[in-house]
Amino acid sequence: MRKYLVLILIPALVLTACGGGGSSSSSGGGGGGVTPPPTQTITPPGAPNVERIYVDGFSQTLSTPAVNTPYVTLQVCLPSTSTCQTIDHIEVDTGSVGLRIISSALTIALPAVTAGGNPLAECLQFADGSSWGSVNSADVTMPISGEKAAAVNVQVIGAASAGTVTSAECSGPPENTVQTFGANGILGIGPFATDCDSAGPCSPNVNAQAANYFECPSPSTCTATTVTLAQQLQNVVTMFATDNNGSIIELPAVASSGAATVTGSLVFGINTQTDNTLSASVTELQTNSLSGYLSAQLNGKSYPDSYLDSGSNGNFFTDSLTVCPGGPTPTTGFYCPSSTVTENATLSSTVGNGSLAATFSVANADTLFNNNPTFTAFSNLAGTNADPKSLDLGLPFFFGVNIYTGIESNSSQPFFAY
Amino acid sequence: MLTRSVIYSLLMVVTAAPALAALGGDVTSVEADRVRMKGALHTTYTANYTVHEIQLAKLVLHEYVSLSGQVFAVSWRGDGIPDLQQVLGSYYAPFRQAAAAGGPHYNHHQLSVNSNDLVVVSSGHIHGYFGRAWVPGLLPQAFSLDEIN
Repeated sequence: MRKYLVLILIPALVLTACGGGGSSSSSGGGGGGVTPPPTQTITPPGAPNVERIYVDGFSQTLSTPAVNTPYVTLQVCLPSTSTCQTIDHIEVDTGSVGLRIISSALTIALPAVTAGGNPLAECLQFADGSSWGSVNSADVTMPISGEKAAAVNVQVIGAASAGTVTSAECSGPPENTVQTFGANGILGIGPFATDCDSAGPCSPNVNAQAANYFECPSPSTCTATTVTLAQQLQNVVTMFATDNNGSIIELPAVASSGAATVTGSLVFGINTQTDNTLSASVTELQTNSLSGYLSAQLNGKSYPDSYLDSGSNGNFFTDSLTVCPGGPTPTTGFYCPSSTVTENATLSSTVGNGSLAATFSVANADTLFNNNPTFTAFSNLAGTNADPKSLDLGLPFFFGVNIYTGIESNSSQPFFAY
Repeated sequence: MLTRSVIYSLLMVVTAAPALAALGGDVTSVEADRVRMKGALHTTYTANYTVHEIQLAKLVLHEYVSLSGQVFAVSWRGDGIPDLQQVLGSYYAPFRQAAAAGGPHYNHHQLSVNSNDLVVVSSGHIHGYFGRAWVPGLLPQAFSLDEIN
């Protein structure tokens, strides 16, 4: 396990903390991380469409800091009222869709979303576990930008009103508390419009999809049910009045040794304001419209199941690099090469012609963690991918590069761009 | 070691189906997975094992059965994740225990659980998941993990 020898590291911590703070035009810390574009401009948080995003490990609450996890603070309100609550440390995840809040972090009683007169509940299976909770309605405001979404369907994870789930209904390691989830909630802003089926109703096809809905006449009698499009969790971005077709995550570069914390911006909308233009220097890569996958090439191998994902805390791909030794620890599955390796991948659209160079470094994860136990941001953290066909470019890849996530619509394919 | 091309040359595809079972289970026990999942079943044969493929609308599940009739590996690829209690069978509880023993896990898109008698890896993002699980002690001789796909 990582140890927390905090005191001797304070000088380094101060020097590398807060690599951006939302200031414009960060040139980054350099080092062995991603190669930043020649001019990265980070728009400062503010109206009408820029929220502050922060990587700080949620260290004041979590027993083990969550490295490379980006968070925002947002406000939820009872619909059409001024009864509101501001909640910090909501994870920003381009690899999922929908707003989910851990029940213990929620102090206001959001009204239930119902089906057939009964409260709805949902099981959401992430790759590493499952979250069970009720589906409730809230108005959501992003407090710095002022972006608002009314009557959003929100999953309240671990809500007592949703009862205790059985393994048959929601299998996998449970992640229903702040300590097991690593955040007070999660804001899924991936390239899809809803969390189950954006083309229509979501049927209770228990073994085929990650999001499954249940009707709960009582907390102990939840049964799988079909929900309409309007009853699914929406991508909150799509519910803003404007700036609703996607987002940009803008995080400064991080030095090769890492950083204690990092601050940047979450820009809403693409080509809707002067601060979110898809300029000529940005290349759009349309994904497969069903899977959200891009294809990648790396070291002569093809990775057809690839994606950009702010919710992945490393760059994950299966390679011959040395995996860190040891038992089940936070470094399980991370790479520990004897010296830092530079990887030069190419990302390509699976439906269009675009392709982009994706260069990143892989440092020794144990060395990174041991040298700076309080650091929470690392640009050169990588590990094995469960899927040998996948290059999962996680948050390390986002440092120093503005990453666009374009949400599917009637007129637009899902895409990533940078 | 068998190469993939050799395996393919040995494949024989049939649409009728022997029964299925969960990881570690006996192939003759039940058709539980296929029945529960209401999926179409295809079975392929290699020299050293049999692959039962359950095709659902949005997900493909593979179950790898040894010549002695025991499920030694499973994999899934598709829109989501199957009912792990169903497909891991008696290994579901040990999986949960091993995952919990690893401490809190904050990366919701990659998982690697290794214990002496069970390996489970899982990854993915919305609408694109892959995972596989195997029991090291049950693998056929000369079996490559690359064959679990």
